[in-house]
Amino acid sequence: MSLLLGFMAMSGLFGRSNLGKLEVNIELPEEVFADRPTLGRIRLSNRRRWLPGFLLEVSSAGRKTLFPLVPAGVSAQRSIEVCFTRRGEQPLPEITLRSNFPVNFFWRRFSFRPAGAALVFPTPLPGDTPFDERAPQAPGATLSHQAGQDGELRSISDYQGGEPLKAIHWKLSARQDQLKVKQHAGLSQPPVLIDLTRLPGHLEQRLSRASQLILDLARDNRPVGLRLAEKTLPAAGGQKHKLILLQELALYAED
Amino acid sequence: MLRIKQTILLFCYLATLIAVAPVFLYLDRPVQLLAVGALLGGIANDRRNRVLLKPLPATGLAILAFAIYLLQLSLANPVLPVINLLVLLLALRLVSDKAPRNILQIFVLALFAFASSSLLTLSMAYLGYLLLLTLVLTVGLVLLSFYAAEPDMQLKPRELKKILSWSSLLPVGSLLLMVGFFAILPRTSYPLWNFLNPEPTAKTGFAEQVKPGSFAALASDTATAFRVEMEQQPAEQLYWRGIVLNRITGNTWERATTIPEERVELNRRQLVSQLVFLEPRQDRFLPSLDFPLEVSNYRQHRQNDFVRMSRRALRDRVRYRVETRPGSRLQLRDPVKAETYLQLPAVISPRLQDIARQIRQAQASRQARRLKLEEFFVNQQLTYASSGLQPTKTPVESFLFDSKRGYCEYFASSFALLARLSGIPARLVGGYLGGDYNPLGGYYLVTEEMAHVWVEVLDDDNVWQRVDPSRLAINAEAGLLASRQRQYPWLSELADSFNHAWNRTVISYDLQRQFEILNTARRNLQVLRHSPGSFKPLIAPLLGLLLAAGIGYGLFKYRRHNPTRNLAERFLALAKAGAAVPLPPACGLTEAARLLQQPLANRFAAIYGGAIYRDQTLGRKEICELRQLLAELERAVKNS
Repeated sequence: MSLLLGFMAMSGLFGRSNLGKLEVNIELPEEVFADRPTLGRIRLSNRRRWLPGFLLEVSSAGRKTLFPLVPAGVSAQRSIEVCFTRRGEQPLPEITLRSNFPVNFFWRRFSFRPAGAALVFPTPLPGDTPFDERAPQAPGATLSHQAGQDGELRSISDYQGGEPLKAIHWKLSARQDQLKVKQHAGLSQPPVLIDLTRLPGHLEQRLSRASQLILDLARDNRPVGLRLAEKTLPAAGGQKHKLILLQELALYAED
Repeated sequence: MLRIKQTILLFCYLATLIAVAPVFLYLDRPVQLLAVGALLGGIANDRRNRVLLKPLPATGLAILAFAIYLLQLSLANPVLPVINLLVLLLALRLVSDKAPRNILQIFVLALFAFASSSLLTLSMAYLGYLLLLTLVLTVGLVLLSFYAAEPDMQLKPRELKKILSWSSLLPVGSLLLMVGFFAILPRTSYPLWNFLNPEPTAKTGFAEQVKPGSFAALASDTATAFRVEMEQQPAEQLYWRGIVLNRITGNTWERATTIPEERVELNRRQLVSQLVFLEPRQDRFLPSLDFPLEVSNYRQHRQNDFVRMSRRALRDRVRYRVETRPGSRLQLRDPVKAETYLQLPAVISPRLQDIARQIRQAQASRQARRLKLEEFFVNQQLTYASSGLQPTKTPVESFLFDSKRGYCEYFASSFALLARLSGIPARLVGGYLGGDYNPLGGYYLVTEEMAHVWVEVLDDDNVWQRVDPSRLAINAEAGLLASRQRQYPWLSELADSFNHAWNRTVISYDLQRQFEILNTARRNLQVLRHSPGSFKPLIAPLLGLLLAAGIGYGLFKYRRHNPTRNLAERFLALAKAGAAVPLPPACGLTEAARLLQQPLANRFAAIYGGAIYRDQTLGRKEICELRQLLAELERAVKNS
């Protein structure tokens, strides 16, 4: 009986200490779309001096990831799938940290909502639009310096969030502990201006179609612009420009 | 990489071994064989990643084992069937699937089998097994958490080592807390689970009846009768009083229930305090140094002839305090009652009557008659012998005149009978003679083979005088006394003193002992309060302790509040260990970072130097970052 009580007291103490002085942050990629699962990074920092963190399970919106061991004074990170249901500035999802350490009889947990917000772009909605006639990769087409999907493998870069999951180079990601995507060369095409008011459907559908178009056109290396009700963003290329356009869509007429 | 499953399986086998080892010899032979076979079979199959027994047959066999052993269960034999069943279930689990919940079952069954073994034996080896099993089960439970979280988890050896080293703190802490809980948890004064214990095996050393001639030889029983913590006493004083036999019927001496009252003439000059640890026994007599004046810390009652009897059966070990004052005298309160001790059997041999008549006629006083009787015993050239004795219907007469050989019962009963015939009131006293003093533990060890019977006779002042007729044997020194004053090898003494310490602190620790400790603490506090002078010797060590604690605390706070110095020291130590060339004396951080040839080291030196060389203190964030950098650097240096 005495031993049992001693063991219960010690396991309680261990369990409590195991969840103390930990910092959990969620890092999202640049491109996060509503209703589309995206791989975020959970960074777990053990701020303790001696005690490692054991069996720490971090979950968010039904998805979870396990940190078996985080040494004292060390940060570790893992991928976790996140999904937002609405576009615009959205609060970061609630995070639950729990552990069954040291014995698998009880779970200790605490939940919190991290500070900050995520900018969520409209859900890309494929559809029959005037700009959906992408040029097939014809013989003799010139390869652009911009990235695309049709050309040959050009380089490997960090995962941004908007890339399709099939573009992730899993083998390399596992080796480097960070998600990497394959970048293919694209084919150069003439510029396009997307007029939001001319797209079919109600507002959200139009925003979604515009979002899809921007992604497709940028991937095809076509300079793309955006005409909104009150302003027009001229056509241009590049990742930065693409993000500006998507941000406009994300925050468009948001009440 | 190491698979967590392999490690947890190892802990399963260890837990099984430790739990079954103490009960193995008590198990039925088939269960013994099955346990060994299951352990070996389980190991072999786990290595090949195979399962010997599928869940359905395993459940069927478990139900069969339940049926077999539940039928054997009875109040007379409640423990062994349960232990056999537990070990059988454990064996079945070893050869079936090892999912996390099955491994938990193995741990639980091992724990129950081990706990039930305490009902069979509570020797000191139990403590060793307990420590081992605690270590294995607690660390095993921690590993099981990892296994349950991810059965295919693989860990680097360094990670596994870290998990094992941290989880081993769990049993260590649990055991330390166990000691504290053991001391303070409320206890019953009577063990609740005693009915499960087997009948006591201790035999009574001194009989409640003395009937010389009923045995041809005395069995030598080296079992411990009791241990007594006390100062060493002269050997001739080591008479441990147990029972007084005051009535003779035929050849048999017994204890009559009506006992005349006696009073004590105290010898206040000498006091012998004893703490007796009595082993389980079948009678209720509480032995103590002859004769016990006060018995405390135990529920007992004193009889008129100063025999002490327990109020309850002595089925488990008990402890009690006794005070004896050697030289004190027991006196019959009413001289008329001396007649009680002159009672005689119906038939007495003419030869004995003749001897008694001669003594009566020669001497008038009891004292002189007693001396005459002793002289007769010496003249008879009697030999002390405990074997090769012929049973006879007239044991006293045969002993005194024919065989002239016998053990203490022959001597004592012959002497007491002749004393009564000669007009000297007499009675037999049963108890023990001698004891082996253990200087390590400061106690006497008295074994059952030291059981002894002697005589008390009334003198002319109606005071009882001890006479040990066995000492009148021609070979008394070799036959009687030598075996009762042995000196054991120091290793045996050491082992026995450990055994005694275990019994003293663990087995006989009960509610009464808890109150004793509480009362002692209260008394000590009262003494300190009423006599502040007694504090003086404690002042210097207390001040020293306080000073040391203060210095320690100051250093701790200093390091805590000056983390910058600590960080720089750690960094330089790391650079010294990891740099390809030796660091120059009084090496700066930037130089050390350059020599370490690690990008992280440069960053460390930049952050640290950026703050310190601008004469600013490091911020909390910077300290955190520096700590992380150091941790990563330590890993990098270790890996390189």
